[in-house]
Amino acid sequence: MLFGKKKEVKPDIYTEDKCQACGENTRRQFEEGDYVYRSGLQCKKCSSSNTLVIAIYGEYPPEDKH
Amino acid sequence: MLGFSQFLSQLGGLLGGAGSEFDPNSPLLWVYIVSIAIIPFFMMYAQKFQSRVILGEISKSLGKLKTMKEGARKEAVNYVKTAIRTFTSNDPATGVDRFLEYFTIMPVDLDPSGIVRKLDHIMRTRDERLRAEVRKLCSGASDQEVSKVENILEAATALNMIYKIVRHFYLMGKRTTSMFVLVQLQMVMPLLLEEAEALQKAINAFKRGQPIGDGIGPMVVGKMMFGKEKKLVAKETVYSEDEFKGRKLYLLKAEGPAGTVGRPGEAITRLAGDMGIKIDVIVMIDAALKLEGERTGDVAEGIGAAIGGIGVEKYQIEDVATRLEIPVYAVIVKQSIQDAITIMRKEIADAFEKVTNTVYSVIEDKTSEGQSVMIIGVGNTMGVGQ
Repeated sequence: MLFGKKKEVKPDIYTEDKCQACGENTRRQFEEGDYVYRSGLQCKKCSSSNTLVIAIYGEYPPEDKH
Repeated sequence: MLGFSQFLSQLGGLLGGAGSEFDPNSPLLWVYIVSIAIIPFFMMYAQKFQSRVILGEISKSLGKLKTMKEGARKEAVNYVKTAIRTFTSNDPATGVDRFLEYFTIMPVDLDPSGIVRKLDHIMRTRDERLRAEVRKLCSGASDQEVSKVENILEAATALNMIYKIVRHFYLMGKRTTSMFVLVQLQMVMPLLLEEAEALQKAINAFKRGQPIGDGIGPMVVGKMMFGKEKKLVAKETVYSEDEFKGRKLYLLKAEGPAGTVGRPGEAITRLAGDMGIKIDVIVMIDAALKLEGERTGDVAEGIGAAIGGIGVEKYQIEDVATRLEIPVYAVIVKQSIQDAITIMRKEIADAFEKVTNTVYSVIEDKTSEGQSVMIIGVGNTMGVGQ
């Protein structure tokens, strides 16, 4: 649209956990209190609770490129 | 003297009409008259029209900025009220308003000798004063919460400042109807709006304690420090020791997950200067502004102190490096100013592996076994532990 209002695109925010036992990476929605290098949620693959948050990031839809 | 109809006839001839066969009743006559009359009219009033149009455009943008700055203030007040749950019964709005109007006077630069020391002193006093104000505002809150509020208030203050400056030039342009003031303001307005929108989005990230794009340096060094003993070396700045292929590593970053950049300059001065730790190479990791057309998350390496800010920390690092003849290498992750202060984009988080590998390859290339390397993760460590 030439004169249309630019639509604000909000990113989806994810937390990525890595299991320290089996190496499985799990992506989930960000939860309040998450921070990088704190303990993550239980591993879905091996049920180990020795997981670590390795990244928190926002993912934008592909068309919104800076 | 020519009669009116003769004059029109001549005019018609000049404008390519039928010359002597000019018909005063022709509708084209009025087209000629209007065409001729409009030229002096626009010569006199075109600038005024243009000023009106520009004023209208700026007024619209100013309205947007006002909404943003009021929204930021409201968010700050609400955050202090609800999330911090202060033990004092005072309304935080007064404290927030006082914070928004806080100013810092830069030292005199007529005699530049020693200005960095003066600047350092002023900035420290400012930081301490602001931190004390925030603590008073949210008494009983944890350090992390205090740092969140501090970051939120800083973003709100920046928005307030942008709004006030734009309003100043808008009113000045309106009062003087000076095209030069208005055109300059109109030219920078899209950039200012972009920055204001980024600041507005940054408040959301700060409120939820999420890492921002600027935090990629601390994120890389935080991983290297994970599981190792952390020692406090300067205010809100920690370091750990490690080994890599026979080299001694000193890992330095701001203490997370609070929203702080720490004091890497003071830390390196203390470690390499006062404590006498021998450092052979310094590697700095930071976010850097990309040029238009460059991709977010691209990694590049170079030489020099990769650190932003007012220049005090950079000066301190360069001073130590020059005095002790330590080469400084930089690894940067490219991003826009918006990316740097809002939630870390996936493209930036994805650069993590590449940055880590680049740092290790620089260490391998530039040092030999038995040497020591200082790795500094520069940036705001909000939402990034160690």
